Amino acid sequence: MVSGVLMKSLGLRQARARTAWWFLAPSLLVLTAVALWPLGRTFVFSFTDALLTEPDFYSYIGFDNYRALFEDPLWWQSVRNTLYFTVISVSIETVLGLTIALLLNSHIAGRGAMRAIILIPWSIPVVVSARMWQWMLHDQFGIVNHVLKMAGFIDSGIAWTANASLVMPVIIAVDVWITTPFMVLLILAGLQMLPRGIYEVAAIDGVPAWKQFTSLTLPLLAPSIAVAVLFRLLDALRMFDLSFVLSSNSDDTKTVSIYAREVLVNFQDMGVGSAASTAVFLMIAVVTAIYVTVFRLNRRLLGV
Amino acid sequence: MVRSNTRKRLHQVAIYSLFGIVALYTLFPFYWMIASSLKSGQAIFDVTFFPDLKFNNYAAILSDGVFLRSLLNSLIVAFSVVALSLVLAIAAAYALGRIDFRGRSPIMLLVLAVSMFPQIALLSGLFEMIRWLGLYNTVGSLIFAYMIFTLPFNIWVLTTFMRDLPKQIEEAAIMDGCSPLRIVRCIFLPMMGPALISTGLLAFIASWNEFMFALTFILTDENRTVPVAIALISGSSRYEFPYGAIMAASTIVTVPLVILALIFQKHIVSGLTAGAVKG
Amino acid sequence: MSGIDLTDVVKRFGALTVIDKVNLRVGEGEFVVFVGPSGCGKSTLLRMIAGLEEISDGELQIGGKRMNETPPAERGIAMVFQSYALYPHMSVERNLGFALETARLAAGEIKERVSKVARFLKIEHLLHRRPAQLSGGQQQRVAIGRALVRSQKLFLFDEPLSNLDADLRMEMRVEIARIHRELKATTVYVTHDQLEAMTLADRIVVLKDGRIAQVGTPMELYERPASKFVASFIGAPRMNFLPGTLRRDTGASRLEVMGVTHTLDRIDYDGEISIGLRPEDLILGGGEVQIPAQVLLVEPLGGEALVHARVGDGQMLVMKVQGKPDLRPNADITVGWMRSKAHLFGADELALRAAEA
Ligand SMILES: Nc1ncnc2c1ncn2[C@@H]1O[C@H](COP(=O)(O)OP(=O)(O)O)[C@@H](O)[C@H]1O
Ligand SMILES: [Mg+2]
Repeated sequence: MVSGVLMKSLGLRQARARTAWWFLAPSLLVLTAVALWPLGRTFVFSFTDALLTEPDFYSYIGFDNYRALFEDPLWWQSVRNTLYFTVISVSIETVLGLTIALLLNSHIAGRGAMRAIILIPWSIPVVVSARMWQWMLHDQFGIVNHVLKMAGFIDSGIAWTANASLVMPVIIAVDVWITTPFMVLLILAGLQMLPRGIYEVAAIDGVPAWKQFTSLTLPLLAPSIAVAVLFRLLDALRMFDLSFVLSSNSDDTKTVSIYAREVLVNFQDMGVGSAASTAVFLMIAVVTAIYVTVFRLNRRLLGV
Repeated sequence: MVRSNTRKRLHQVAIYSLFGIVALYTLFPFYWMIASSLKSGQAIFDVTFFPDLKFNNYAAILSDGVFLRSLLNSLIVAFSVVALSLVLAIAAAYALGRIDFRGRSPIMLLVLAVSMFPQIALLSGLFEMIRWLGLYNTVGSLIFAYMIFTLPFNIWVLTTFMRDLPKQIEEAAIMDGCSPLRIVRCIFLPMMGPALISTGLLAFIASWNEFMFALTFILTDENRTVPVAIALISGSSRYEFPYGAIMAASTIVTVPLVILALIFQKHIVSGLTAGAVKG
Repeated sequence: MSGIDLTDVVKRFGALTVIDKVNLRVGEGEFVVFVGPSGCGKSTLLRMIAGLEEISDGELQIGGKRMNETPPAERGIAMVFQSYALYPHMSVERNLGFALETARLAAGEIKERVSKVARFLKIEHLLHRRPAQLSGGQQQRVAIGRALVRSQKLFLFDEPLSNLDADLRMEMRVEIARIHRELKATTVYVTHDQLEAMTLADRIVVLKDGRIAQVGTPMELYERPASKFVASFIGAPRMNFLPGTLRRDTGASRLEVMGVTHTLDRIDYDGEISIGLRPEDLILGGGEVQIPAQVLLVEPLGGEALVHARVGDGQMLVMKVQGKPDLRPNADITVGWMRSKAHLFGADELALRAAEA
């Protein structure tokens, strides 16, 4: 009754606005509890000597954790690994994704089936994909080595995931297998939004196919590609499971996420672990900001 | 005329060959996974392309209480996350998609920003929060933690969808005496079927597949989800590595997803692209 | 208990004033039509009455009670929308009963009231269909039915017929008139179609740029339009306008139009004016005032015909004549009218009236 009277004296707009906040409240509460607050606490912990076992007892130690982090060569190796993985895998996936998307965009029977097929690697757990490829790449019993031997390329099995110089390319290859579909689907959606008419005009004007591609398709598609690449970038920079399962203890494929979790969980060092987490956050924020600015994506992302 | 016909033929042959290669590359690992899972005992170490159709590995993995338990955990987590994230997101999407109020744009920005947070950046804080909530080493910790990637995405996609529903239908409902809650429940929800399927499926897939939180917030075997269970299967030595069991477990985990992906292909794709391409 | 009083009502969207100090009384049981060109604020005004749009300033009373802050559902109003706005996932029956369901009436009573309305609107056979399975006219009937079921005393319509084709529009117009005759509910009806306004309204409110240009019965508006704007909006085909000059004399005024001068009762005005002549008031080869013209085109409509003619240096006239006149294009004719039928508008576009004696 009281609230009814209150609502009446509020006016329609205000009543609507009040409804909006009530409807948003649960989500805002959850997002605060699960994201904003933990982010802030991680930041705070990065200046303390807290241990995971006793997170309630800590004192502030300034930038010591960051100093320790930046003096650890393994951290820098993780950063290099992560950036290397990100740049190479996202580049390959983009090129491959664009190619397959163009292929699927042609009006041809079996297109729908293809689209369903390429969705599968993306939709299954990365852990399963990793296990699957681990088995196929097994040095003694793996089918890959078997086929290579039969074909006469090699004499004895290659230890794909144990060899320091091979393991990163292998991880990139598996990641390409897993995530190219994502790229294909996003680019395909972009392709299907292109206006049909301009191609008909171009065809009548006798513009050759490759020229149509470079001067029509690519520029028109660029925004879609840019957004798809951004999503992949964000994903690749925080890569964890693939490397963890395929080569859990190798320094050659340690990503920043694995590094941070290792310090936090295995060494129980909440301080340095949080410092690493914060560094990862800043790294990703900076990369995103640069990327969004360079490709002027802000309007497109926020075009609400 | 003849020449252009031959060219067209060649073009088609080329495209179908490429289709074939892509399909083979995509599907062969699955075939190999299933084939390997159907070889029993030592047979798995002989590279034969056709399996023996022995179900020993399945019998073994399915009689393993811990694996069944983790399957159940995964189902509980995935369904709870879908339900919870949809309920929260639908309410939020109504506010963001249909009501013009001050604070709307900042909140949209916040939602977008949170969806880009790297999960590792929250790990220590989330750890503390989960302990504080008393959820450590329970499936509840995962249901809670998975909100971070499902909720912002669902809010975003459902908001764009809700925004496009006809205004006069809502006004008709207002005139009919509906409260906002009733408008959402009785009018909009039934009109949002496709968007709910898309977002629900994607939330399900993401929760079913998540690994890092599941590895970190769960301590004991009986509370684990399947990705972690599969990652942690190991033999007593390198030569006893139970690949047969791993492949069988992987197949079991994969099949429901593949079925979902095949049936709801369109919905998944539209969900994936809804956030990205709209604008 | 369902009359409407608007007092100095204002609506602003940010800096834009869309409704500017509107004052209006709608009597109980009256059928009032808002007309005006697109964007003049008809819908906004209606939606303010409904409660879908906030009132920036001024007061709205319904049945003598201030309603500015009352939620729409509590104003005792039922509304019909242009797009019908039927709930697409519900059967016709559930669409009709939804408001009652929301108000938690017993299922039996809902069913009874729904079937009564369905019978009244002759849509009983559609009750189990979905809106998508209905034609436009049927959807419109359901939309009206949804408003009727709530048995409110006040009905609002926002261009309910503009999505229908001409035949159906006429049929539904008759239907709406019947509903009003039988239920006697106060009705406010928005349209941009002057024909709907003329045929349905007890009183018409002509809106222009967020202000009321004129209020009156259809015949008042037709016979004594207050401004050139109202004159050209009411009546079809549109009123013709010819330029002229009015000279004040002692006791009388002299009007010169197309080189023909005649005297009128004294009007307190001197200068350039516009002479408004309805097509149906023009007389071929007759009338008190006659001007020469040239036939451009004859459009036979069956019982009557429209004659398009040119007068002076390029002025166009349309006149409506009975039967089928035997006129060839370019034929020279004279067009005339009775002095009492000419509407005179000054430079400010307001109607000029003879000074009271
Ligand atoms: N929500 C709004 N925000 C800003 N301007 C609006 C809004 N709604 C309507 N208007 C403006 O108010 C004016 C009147 O609109 P409306 O009442 O819909 O006109 P009509 O129904 O007579 O065609 C138009 O100029 C329109 O652009
Ligand atoms: Mg309107």
